[in-house]
Amino acid sequence: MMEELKTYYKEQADTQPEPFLAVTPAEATVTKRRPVHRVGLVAASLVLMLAVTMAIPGVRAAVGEWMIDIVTGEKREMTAPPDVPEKSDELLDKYVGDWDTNKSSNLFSVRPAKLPREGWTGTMRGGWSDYEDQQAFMAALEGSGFRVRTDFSGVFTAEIRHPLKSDVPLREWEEEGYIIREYEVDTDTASSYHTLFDDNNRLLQINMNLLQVSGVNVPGERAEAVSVAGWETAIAVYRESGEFWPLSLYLTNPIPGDIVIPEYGDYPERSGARYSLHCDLSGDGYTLEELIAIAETLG
Amino acid sequence: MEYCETVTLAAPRGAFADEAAFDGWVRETQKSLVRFCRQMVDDWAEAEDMAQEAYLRAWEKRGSFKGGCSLLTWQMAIARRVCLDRLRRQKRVKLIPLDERDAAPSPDTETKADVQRALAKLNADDRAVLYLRAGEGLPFEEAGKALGCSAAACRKRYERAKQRFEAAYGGREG
Repeated sequence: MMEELKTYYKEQADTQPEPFLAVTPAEATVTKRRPVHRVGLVAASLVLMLAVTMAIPGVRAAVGEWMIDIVTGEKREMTAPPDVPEKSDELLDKYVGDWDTNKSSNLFSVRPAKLPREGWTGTMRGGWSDYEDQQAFMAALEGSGFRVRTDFSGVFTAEIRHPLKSDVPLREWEEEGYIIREYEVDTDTASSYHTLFDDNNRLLQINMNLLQVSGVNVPGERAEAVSVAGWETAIAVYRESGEFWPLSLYLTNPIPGDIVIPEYGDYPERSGARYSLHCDLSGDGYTLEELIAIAETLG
Repeated sequence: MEYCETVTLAAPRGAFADEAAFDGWVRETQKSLVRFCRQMVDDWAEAEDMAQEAYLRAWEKRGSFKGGCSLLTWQMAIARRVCLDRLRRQKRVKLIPLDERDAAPSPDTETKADVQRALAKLNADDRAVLYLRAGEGLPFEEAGKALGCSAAACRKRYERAKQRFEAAYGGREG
């Protein structure tokens, strides 16, 4: 029996994937000086998470709602940024397009990494039932400078570009017991998402529209993240274009770093994950009409 | 980890002498450390996260490394602690790892699957000690330092883990 165990260990070593560790001395030093670093990376990862989330039809049910607990189906109000006036299905409908006719990915997970390496952060994993879909997506990732790897079962892993301009938060405050830190997103890097999405992949192009609407007019996109109870639960908020574009996304998941977004209608059974989403397109700097006008100028 | 720290020998140096050295250290040992973590957590990606965290903690705590064991052993001791912390936190819900769930079974992998199932019935420390001995071939003294215990205690742990593994493997279905 022990021989079989040794053989197993040897095979495991032989087939071990190349690690994607994100540790370099400089980053470790940065983290040492600033323990808040990881929180920022959650926010950074959520930039892409937002993109992916918005691109998946299953999430459509939650977008524009105040909040839906996907596990229970219960609709309830979630803690919102201050002075958020109202939801806006119209803006989504106008600029996001028809979600329901998109080809769907049947499973996707995004896992925030703890540290960046050479300008990269985050690990994204996912799998498609449709092989061609997956290949197309991976090609899009690689074409955008992402490093992608896959295994024989078809699951791929990609590293995500670091979208934060600085690890130092712009500001920090406490709200309802949570420490909230705000970071500035590197819009140059964020624009690579546009490239990523611009690969005839309709799901992602939809999100590109959102980013363009929100990213061009006001320099200095910002992201916010909230870390709760030492990663036991993570709630994060992504806010683009600073105070002028209050596009927010709240994600909660009891499994740190493993947010699984399964196919619409098949949430709890397939993933076992609890997932909640709140997306708010209302304004606290611009009015809705002003936002729409801005969007229209962008074509 | 604690065990290593009680032995006072050298000041921090070598891999932790400066950032460039640490960079080299990470690159040189990451595969080994990830593999160690993989024995304790569910999938490779998770193991990478654990290893990454372990490197970070090692860098932060580099001043506390006093020698008395190899640096890799010390690093493994930290990684073990990281993994155990992680396992404690995620008890409530368990996800099926993507990479393993989607793998198609084949006759060639039956033995491997049996070993995996048997290992899955053990606790993380049992898997760790089995791996350090049977996988890495570490002597008890060194393996014990990675596990935070003496060589004698490590030997006992190993024997018990081995018995549990054999019982689990022997009692497998099919």
